[in-house]
Amino acid sequence: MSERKIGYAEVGAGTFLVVLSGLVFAETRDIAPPLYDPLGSAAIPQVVALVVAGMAAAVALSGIRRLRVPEADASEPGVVSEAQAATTPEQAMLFVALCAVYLVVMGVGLVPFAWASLVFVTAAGTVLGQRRPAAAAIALLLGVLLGFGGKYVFTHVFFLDLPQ
Amino acid sequence: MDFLSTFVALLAPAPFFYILLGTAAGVFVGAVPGMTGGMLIALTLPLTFYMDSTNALIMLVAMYVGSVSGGMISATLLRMPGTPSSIMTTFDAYPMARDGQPERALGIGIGASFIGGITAGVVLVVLSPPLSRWAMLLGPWEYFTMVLMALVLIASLSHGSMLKGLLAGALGMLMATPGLNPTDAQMRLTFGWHELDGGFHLLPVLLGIFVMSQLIKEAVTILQRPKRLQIGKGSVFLKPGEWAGHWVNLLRSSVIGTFIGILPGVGSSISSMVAYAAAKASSKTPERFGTGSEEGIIASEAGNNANVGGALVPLVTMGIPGSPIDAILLGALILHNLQPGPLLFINNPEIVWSMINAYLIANVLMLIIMVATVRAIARIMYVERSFLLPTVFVFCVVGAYADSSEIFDAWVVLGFGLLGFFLERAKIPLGPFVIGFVLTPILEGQLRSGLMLSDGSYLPMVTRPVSLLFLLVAILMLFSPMLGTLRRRRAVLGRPGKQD
Repeated sequence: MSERKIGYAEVGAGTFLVVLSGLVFAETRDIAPPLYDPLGSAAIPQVVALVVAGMAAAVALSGIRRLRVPEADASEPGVVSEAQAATTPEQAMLFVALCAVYLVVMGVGLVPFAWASLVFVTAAGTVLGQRRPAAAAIALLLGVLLGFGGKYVFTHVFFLDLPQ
Repeated sequence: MDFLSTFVALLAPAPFFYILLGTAAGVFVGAVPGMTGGMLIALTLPLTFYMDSTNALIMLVAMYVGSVSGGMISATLLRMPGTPSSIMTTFDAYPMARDGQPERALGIGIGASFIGGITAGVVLVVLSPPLSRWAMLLGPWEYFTMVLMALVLIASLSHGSMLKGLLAGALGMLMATPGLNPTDAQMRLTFGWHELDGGFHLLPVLLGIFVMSQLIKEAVTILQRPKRLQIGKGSVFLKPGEWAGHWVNLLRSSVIGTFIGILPGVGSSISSMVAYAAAKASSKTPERFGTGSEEGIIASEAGNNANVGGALVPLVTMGIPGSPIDAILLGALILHNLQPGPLLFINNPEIVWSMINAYLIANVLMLIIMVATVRAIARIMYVERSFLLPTVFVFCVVGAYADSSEIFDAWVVLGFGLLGFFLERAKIPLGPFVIGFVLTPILEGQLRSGLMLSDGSYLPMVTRPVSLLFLLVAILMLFSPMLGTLRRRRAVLGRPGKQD
């Protein structure tokens, strides 16, 4: 991964964590004072939130410094390396979106586990398999196996609850 | 129940089957690029809810042994470590395989894994009972400073900068604080969501961090296809005579791996790195390291397998995970209503001895399985990831939902998966996060108990000798990188430390 990408990731992660620890720290003000022990329930989350905020800010600053350094990149502008061409962040985003939809439809009780899993595995397998017909066919078969076969195995062999 | 009687009991068909199944599954999954032992164990854990506790735990331990060894296969043939602990193995095993000796590279790795595992097993058997008795003498201050030391250790030894390691550990601690606090039954940091009344449950967090983040990472690189080397017809089983000249390296690497494993929180990738560095420093041909050196393969594989056994020592004697994967085993103990800690040896000796014996038997089975099936695994280990990723996610959802019957936990998997993915993009390691998450309840509970016993005084932390020792180690680990930087800067500026 290039230095610039690491820099952006550091700034993003650092900023997010500073905000998160700020929210946590603010929430600790609602914790009642200690009754039985000298420390109470608020102390550890407050100290840890401050430590996280401080370190996250340092990481974000390190990211900003990294972004300021001109990248010693040997590649020509506009030329994409083989490794870069093989990364597909949009595929990953689509996969995550499909995962979220899968959880939403089961969570609201719209679709039971077996059907939801069939559609999810088929859709995700097709998308990640570059939408090739062969990949779609195999994904559909796998979806049937996991959805209906999985439902039987998980409930009757392992006795697990499934989202209905 | 003692060592021998439990050993004999595990040779019965049912428990032996679980150890065999666990080892075989671990070897195969460890060999598949993109799948790790942590993922396998985390995904299997919910499936063991209704199993007998002993059978569940011995199967999970066997998976751990198998997966650390299985990672060597893809490291050798694909130059992709199947598990993080096999990273150092790629440096020498792949060049050796590429130069026409894949069978020898695999054979050396398999043999070294076996020796490393058995060496650690001996230490595990000898050290665990007295250590568990000693651990009973520890009080809350000793536990607090030991956990603190574990967090600093893993942060300082993890990949990349120590600041990021400490940040990851602290973030894990922060994520462990929401919910009902057991010390005083106070509800905190729920942000008004009743789903957070019990805090973030361990299993969904582990599935998110270990599994989901890896799935997203694999989705980003799904078009990358590694070139696979073929195994010839030569034997991968090396006769005892072929190990001549390697015994010192074998033993040294095994001991290094074992004792680094005993350090709380430090995983097998660190062991293999340290063993590799030690082997290179003492080698007569250090220039060969990284080009196909047999010594390099031996050091890495003996070190990482020995770490597995070493890491079981603090887990079974003190309830402190010796590595991030041991954090999952800790979760398994809790899920099966077993209380981790020094009393585990007293109250459930059959469980502890079963885990230890399962570890030893799994190492023997690993050797047999790897020698017998490595060719078959090499042919099928590259599983088309476009089908693997959605399948694994379905298993994650099932596992998370099974824990609490709440879809919220499946969202926790997705959420922590995204968090883990972006943390890794920023080169913030995930091992310290998991250790911080798992150890925080112990850390906070022990600190508050200690303060109640001492009427609010922090003095016992420094007046009790063992507590002071742990605290000093933590401080040393925290500041030693800074001292190193200072010394290097002085050398660069040409300022002598002493006048001649």
